Amino acid sequence: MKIKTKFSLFASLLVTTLLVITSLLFMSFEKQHLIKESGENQIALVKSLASVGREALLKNYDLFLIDYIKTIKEGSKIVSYALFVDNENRILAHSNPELLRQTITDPVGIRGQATQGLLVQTYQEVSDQPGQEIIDVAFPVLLGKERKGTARIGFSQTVLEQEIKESLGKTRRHILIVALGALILGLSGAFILAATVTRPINVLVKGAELIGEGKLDTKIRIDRKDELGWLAGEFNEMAERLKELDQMKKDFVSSVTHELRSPLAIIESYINEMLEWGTQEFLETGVDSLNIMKNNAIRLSYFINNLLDSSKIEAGKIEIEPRLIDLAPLVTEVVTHFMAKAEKEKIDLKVELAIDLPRVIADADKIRQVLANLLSNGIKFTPSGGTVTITAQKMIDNPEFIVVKVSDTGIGIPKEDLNKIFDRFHQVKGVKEKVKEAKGTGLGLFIVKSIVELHGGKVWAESKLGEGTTFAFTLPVESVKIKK
Amino acid sequence: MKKILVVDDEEDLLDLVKRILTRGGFEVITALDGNEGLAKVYSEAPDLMILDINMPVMNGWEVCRKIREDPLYKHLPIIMLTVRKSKTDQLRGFNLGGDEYITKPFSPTELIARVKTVLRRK
Repeated sequence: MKIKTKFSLFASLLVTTLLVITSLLFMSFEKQHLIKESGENQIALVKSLASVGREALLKNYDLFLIDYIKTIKEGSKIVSYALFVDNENRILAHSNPELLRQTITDPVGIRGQATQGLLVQTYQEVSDQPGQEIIDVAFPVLLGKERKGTARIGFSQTVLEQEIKESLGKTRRHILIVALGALILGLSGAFILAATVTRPINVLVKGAELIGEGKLDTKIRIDRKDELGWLAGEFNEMAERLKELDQMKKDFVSSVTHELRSPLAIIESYINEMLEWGTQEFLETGVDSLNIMKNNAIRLSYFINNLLDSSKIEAGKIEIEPRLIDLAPLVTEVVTHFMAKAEKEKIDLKVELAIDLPRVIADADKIRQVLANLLSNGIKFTPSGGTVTITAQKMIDNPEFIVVKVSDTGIGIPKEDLNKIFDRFHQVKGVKEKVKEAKGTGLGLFIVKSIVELHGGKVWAESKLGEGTTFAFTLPVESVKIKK
Repeated sequence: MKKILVVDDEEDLLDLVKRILTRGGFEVITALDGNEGLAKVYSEAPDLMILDINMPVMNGWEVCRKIREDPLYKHLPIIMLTVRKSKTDQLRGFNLGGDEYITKPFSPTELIARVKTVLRRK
């Protein structure tokens, strides 16, 4: 079921329930109110009859009383009878004129006449209309302390209930009309609300579908400052991120292809040249060519190793064989390897190792790889005339580790990229346009980080744009146990 | 002597091309990226340019486009020399105004033959 339908159904159910409850409550209050009001009216009527009776007794003038009783009887259908008796229970006035001057003997009448205050009695009428329940209200007329007469009015409970019922019926009809109106308003309101809520959701769904189909340029446009607007924003960011990842993948594939093809093409082209040569040319430049071919073969295998390592790391299958080793010879070895390149680029390579450098627990091959990656980056991103420095010393705040730093005076890394550079495939945007030979696949630092962390060390980078970058990593000294 | 400008970011390859063309009787100047290559077109006025595509700073496509838009140098013969082997890349090279498209690895004799053909055509 669609959200719109569900929402509308739910809202209408809610509105209906609320209306029903309110109406029921209202009806019940109304009924109680009507009953209470009619009770008060009855007492007031009897009291007013009593006061008219008192006047009549005082002035000895019955006619007005008889007239008043007639008015009372005719004034309301509820009044079954009205009468006034003297202190001997003789009827002085009665709504039924035939009963005039008769003495009342029935128990209700006797009790009513005998009362000193307001008396309400309920009884079942026996006479012509059986089943009628009568409420008899009596009120005495006292002159001084002496009772001179009693006013009594009989109200028909049956008629009263019928009247209340009729009045409630009228109210019910009004409520029904109002309720119907409210229901229609509520329903259309719910429908409109549901539509306004679901419209952006539909936009979201369509957008998400497009993104799912790989159309990553999709922008979901929902200009709302609520959850739906935020959700759309999140979707857009996700698409943006996917696009970045997609671009990263494409860049990676294209740079891997290029990095594999270039050295191979160089080697093969040199071989082609040799094959077409005579002896004279071979004697002149053959050895140089072979060296170039060898270097390119090394470059290729270095690259392939990185590629393999990175996929091993990704699969969690890389292992290190840590031994107690001296770092100094390792550093010298790597630096020597990069000497020729640094010289060609006119970059100064410096090594500053602390004299008291303890031996470390590390896999020599892997640490060689780490140093080579960092050094190669440093040289690559440093302009001619710059310096790349390797330092190593004990950590000041944690003597169980040494810290190795590779600092360059290169172009630096933007702040927003500093924590991403260790991600697989991540390459700082725009760097290929700035720097000669900024090839690479975005794997080097990922491998560095993984290897250092396998040794139980940490790796980080500090950088100032235009001034240079320092990469630092820590390695445990002999006393520390390695966690695998 | 015809002057040939070779633009490639792979120095080893640049050296090789330079050696082959020099032996073939040409004067050779080189550049390591697209920007430098373009500058040398203006300053050295070569008779032919051999252009790599994947290069930092400015790639070969861009260099080719800029030269073909320049009223003074738009007739400069350009040979693309690249590891990109696909038909799409070749067509792109020709569409941008390349006169020849040679893929790496190349054969020295073939390179010299193509250079001579392009120069004769112009």
